[in-house]
Amino acid sequence: MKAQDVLAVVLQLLALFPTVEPAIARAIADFQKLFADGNEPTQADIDALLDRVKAQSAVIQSQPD
Amino acid sequence: MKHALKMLVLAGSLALSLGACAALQKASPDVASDAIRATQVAITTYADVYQPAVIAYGNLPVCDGSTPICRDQAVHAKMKALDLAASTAIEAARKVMATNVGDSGELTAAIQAIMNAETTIAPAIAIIKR
Repeated sequence: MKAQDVLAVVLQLLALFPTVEPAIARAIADFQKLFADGNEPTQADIDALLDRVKAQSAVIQSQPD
Repeated sequence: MKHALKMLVLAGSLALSLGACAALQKASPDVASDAIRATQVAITTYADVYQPAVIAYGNLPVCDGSTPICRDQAVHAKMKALDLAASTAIEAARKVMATNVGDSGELTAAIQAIMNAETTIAPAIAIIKR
């Protein structure tokens, strides 16, 4: 791999990192809560989850092909 | 970072499989409640793992032979189409999840649409691994 390729990868990784790292942390926290004994999701929890799907889908649909 | 991306989607797929199986296998008189639980697990995986991965993938530069980590336009277009289908199916399941009654296939349709969307992850990883 050429030096400029390495630099390009590093720059891209830096650009991706703020997106991916919090996503992993959030997934771990959400699943710990989801599978906790006796945890029953409230309607507010479900609404918040579905609203997040809707908002993220809007971001995805706005990205260029 | 490639490893992080792969771990993200693989963990999500595993969580989806295990979560759905666990919820469906549980012997409970409250079948409707279990179905909602299984759907919630699938949607959580979708929102926490799949959608962030697609957003990150969509921010990559288009593959043109000069960039090692890149976005294949055909794969990304398919991701967008399947996300639209999944998000629509998830929204259609909102009322059933809220009221716990009246499920006429909305929950199953939402889970199926999520699983369909996740089939786009393998081609995306294959392109990143090149």
